[in-house]
Amino acid sequence: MEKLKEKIIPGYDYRVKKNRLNSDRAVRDKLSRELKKSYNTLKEVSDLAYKDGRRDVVEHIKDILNTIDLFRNEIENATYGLSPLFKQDKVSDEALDRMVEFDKNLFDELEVITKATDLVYDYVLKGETSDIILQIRKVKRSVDSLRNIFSDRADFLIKKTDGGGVT
Amino acid sequence: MNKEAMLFRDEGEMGDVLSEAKRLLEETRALEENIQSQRESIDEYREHVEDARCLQAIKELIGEEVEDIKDVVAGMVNEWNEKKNQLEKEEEEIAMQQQAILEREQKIENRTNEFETEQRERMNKELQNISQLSANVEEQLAGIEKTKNAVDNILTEDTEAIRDRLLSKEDVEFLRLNYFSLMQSRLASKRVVNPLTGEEYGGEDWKIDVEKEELIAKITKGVIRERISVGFEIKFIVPEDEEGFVYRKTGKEISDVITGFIQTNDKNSFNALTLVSPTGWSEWVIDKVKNIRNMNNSVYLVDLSEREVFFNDGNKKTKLFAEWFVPVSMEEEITDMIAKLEEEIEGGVLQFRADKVASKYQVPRKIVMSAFREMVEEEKGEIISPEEGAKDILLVVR
Repeated sequence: MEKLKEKIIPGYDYRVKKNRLNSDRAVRDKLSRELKKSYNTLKEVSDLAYKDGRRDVVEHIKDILNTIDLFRNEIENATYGLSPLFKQDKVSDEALDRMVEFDKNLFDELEVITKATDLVYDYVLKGETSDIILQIRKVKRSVDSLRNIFSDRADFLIKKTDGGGVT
Repeated sequence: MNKEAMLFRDEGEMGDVLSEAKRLLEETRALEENIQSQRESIDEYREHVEDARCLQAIKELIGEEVEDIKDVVAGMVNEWNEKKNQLEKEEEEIAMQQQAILEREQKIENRTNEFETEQRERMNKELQNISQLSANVEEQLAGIEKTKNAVDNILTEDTEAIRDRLLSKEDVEFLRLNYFSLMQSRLASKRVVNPLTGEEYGGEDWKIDVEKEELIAKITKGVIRERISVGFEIKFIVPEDEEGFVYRKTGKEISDVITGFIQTNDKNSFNALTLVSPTGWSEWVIDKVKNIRNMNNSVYLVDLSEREVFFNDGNKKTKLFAEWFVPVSMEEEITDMIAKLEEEIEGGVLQFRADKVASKYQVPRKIVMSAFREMVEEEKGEIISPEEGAKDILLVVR
């Protein structure tokens, strides 16, 4: 919780109703920005691969870039205003703990993706690129995993509309 | 023409970038944690250093003060030690003085105890003496009390009797008048013989001269030179009064009168000195008179209170004329008084007051009271005393 606060501050606090929407917005902004960094890094690698005539690498990177793009759109456009979490005054501690756990998993995965894209770029600069397509695919899978976690989080938030509840 | 790759040279493999990324992140986290802990340690160390510096600064500051305080304390300790030593010396001196005082006190106490013991013994003796004296005094007081009571009783019972013994000036005057009257009547009625010459004279031969305090009766003879053949000098001697009352017996004060009379001597003249006292004579005078020895002169003492005459009955001449001076007896006067009172009763008088009766008949109060008592004894009347409301003693006729 403290670490999340450090990463997402200011305003990360689900305990008070008026701060919950802001906290969710801060999480999503952070995700979008970090993904944008990875996106730019991978775009740079794609440009270098294109210059070196590695059309195969460009194609694979294009695939992951599209995925990141779509994911960022989902993140930035997601609306949870009707979620019971943001409408009800009293929310159970279990529901809040679950939200925090979702956010923690998102940032853990996001950090791995960011670091991995940086490593890919470093290896490209060093000319060690023999298994780059494999590593790009692994990064793509990690992004998918991140997208799944975000999707599960969204599902948890809108459970109320499906007859469930967060309280 | 084939263009040579600039970066994608495939000179080596990247490896598992995800695993490496995770490892690097963990290392980074570990480093961060380490850095954090080191920061905390540094902060803690900094705090320690700061504390140490502060402590050092405090110590330095205190050190200077401590040195100063040490000097002050050392000075105080020295001063204290000096004063302590001085006090210890003073205490020793005081202890010695106290010891000396205690010894002196002990001596004084011993002396005091001895003195107290002596005093107690003396006091006990004194107390015993005092007790004895007190007992004696109490006995004497008891005796005096008895006497006083007896005297009180006598005084209470015999007030009137005492009053009888007291003569007022009026009583004395009545006695004088009565006695002089009696003497005049006797001289006039009797013949007299000069015991020295045998010359006889009749009652008419007397030349009687009555003055205030004396009656002089004399018979003279001779024409050219008149000489006394028989001379009686009767002097009425009244002792000094006390608050208007006469009660003392006459004594030595008349010795000059007697001596002067005896010394005059005429061998053919018989002279008699008769001293009359309303209260009587002292033993001393009576004894003197009874022992006078003179050939021509005689001395008589007449006691009007007891109706007696004292003289030298061993002298014939003196004894011869003693009868002349005997006063009327008390019984005669009382009888005479009773007769007069009975005359008045017959005249209708029913009560008599003692002072008025004495004044009226010119008799001493004693005669009046005696007459009253005899009349009471004969049940002719009853006495009412002043305690019962009368102004003076009354005789009320029955």
